[in-house]
Amino acid sequence: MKSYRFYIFFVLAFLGGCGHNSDPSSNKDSVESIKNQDPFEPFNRKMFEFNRVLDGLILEPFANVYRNSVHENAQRSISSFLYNLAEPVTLANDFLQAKKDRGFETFSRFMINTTFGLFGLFDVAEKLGLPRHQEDFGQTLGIWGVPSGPYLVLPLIGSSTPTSLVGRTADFYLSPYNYYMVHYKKRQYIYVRLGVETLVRRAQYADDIKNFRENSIDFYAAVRSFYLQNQKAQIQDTTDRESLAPGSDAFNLNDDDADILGEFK
Amino acid sequence: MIKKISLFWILLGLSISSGAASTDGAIQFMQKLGDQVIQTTQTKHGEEKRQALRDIFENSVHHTSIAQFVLGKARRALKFVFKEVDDLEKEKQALAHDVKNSLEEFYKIYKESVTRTYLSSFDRDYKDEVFQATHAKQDGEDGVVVYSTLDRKNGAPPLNLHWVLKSTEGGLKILDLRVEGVSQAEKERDEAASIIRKHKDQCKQDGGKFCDLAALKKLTDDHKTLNDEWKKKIRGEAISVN
Repeated sequence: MKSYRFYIFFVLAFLGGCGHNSDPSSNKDSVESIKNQDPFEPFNRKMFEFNRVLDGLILEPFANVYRNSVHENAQRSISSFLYNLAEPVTLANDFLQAKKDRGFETFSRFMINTTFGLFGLFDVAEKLGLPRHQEDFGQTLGIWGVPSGPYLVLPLIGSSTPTSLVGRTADFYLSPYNYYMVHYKKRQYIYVRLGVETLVRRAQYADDIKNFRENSIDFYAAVRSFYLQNQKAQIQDTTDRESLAPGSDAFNLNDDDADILGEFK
Repeated sequence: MIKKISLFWILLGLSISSGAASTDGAIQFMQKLGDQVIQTTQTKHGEEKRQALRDIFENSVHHTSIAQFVLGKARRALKFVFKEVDDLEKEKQALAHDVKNSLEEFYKIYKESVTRTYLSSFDRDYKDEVFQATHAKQDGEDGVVVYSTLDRKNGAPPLNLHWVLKSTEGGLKILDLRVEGVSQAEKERDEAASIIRKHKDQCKQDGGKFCDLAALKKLTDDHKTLNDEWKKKIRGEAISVN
């Protein structure tokens, strides 16, 4: 799964996560479906607003400073370094999802970038034809068939589902970086990494987020739709992802406005 | 993304026959469209650039199909407003007139919303970014999905953009854009459903009549407000540049 999808949500609602729709095959047509997926909507909307305020007060201003003051090449290297730190988690999940080829690809990427790429500061592997992808334990649970449960928005954590929360916890323990820091009693560096990563991704997708916000008539509903669709797409990554989104036939409606007006047209 | 000037495309030799869509033609269509957008953003400026992009997008999108998809069941629910009036022919005719006008108004405003969305998303600096339509797949009877990527700056991974196209008498038209697997049309429909539900519930609580119709009007108003705010913002930016 492309990191983009993961991180755009991470920052959109102040920080996504990963979670999965319980029924990836459903092609919802609206109100009933939304009620089913988001039974705690009143609570979620309040948390969403809370996160938006925090984002506006803290994250967005700092992200703007970072974007405007750090050289583009340095931003690219920092981003690449952070992606490299997360490769072991992707590697573990590749194999847990029985994606052996992708697992070996991730392993190669990690080795190449950690050595020739100077601890990941340069994405040498991508230039050698090994593109980056990202997997997490939330996806793994989805692929194993675990239902995601209802959509939740939590303070600071943002968009999530019960499955995604379990996944995030598992990913924490799958990370050698976190293991090392906990083992050597340097937990503060875990928080430093989390903070830096949040800032970098927020800066990286600042324009996309701004556009998304400015072009939504209901920003909460837009983020929820984006998040749930994204999770469905992630689970289906290796199968038939395209079939999840509406195809051209979905736009061929069987009635026209005249049918609606009936005899009164 | 997408837009206008079908005549322009025809002149460019982009003649895509109606009927079953050809995947090669669809790839060509999207590549030329993407190149055109990038070139426009690099060679034109200010209002001239926006107008050129507007032309491209307006001619390339199948607005009515998208608008009807976005309304989904809410559009069909309009049938039921007729049950809320007494069986007076005159009253029902007036209501039918209102429904027809409200739908037409929504399509008109929504067309502007689609253009706004595409313009805001693609009116930016594409320096060092490459758009590439890679392959295509037949989708249903007259549809094609074109797969493309946009290489990005700042270490962001390349963006996967999938375009759902439909072959029409006027050539290929865009129905949907999927960004990393996320359908924009479905996102729009979820937003619309949320707004409609909210206003319909409120209308019912207030003891109102024709709540399906009232909710449609509210949705149209919300889109209109957003479009107006955006136009104001664009004008403000133009003034500050000048």
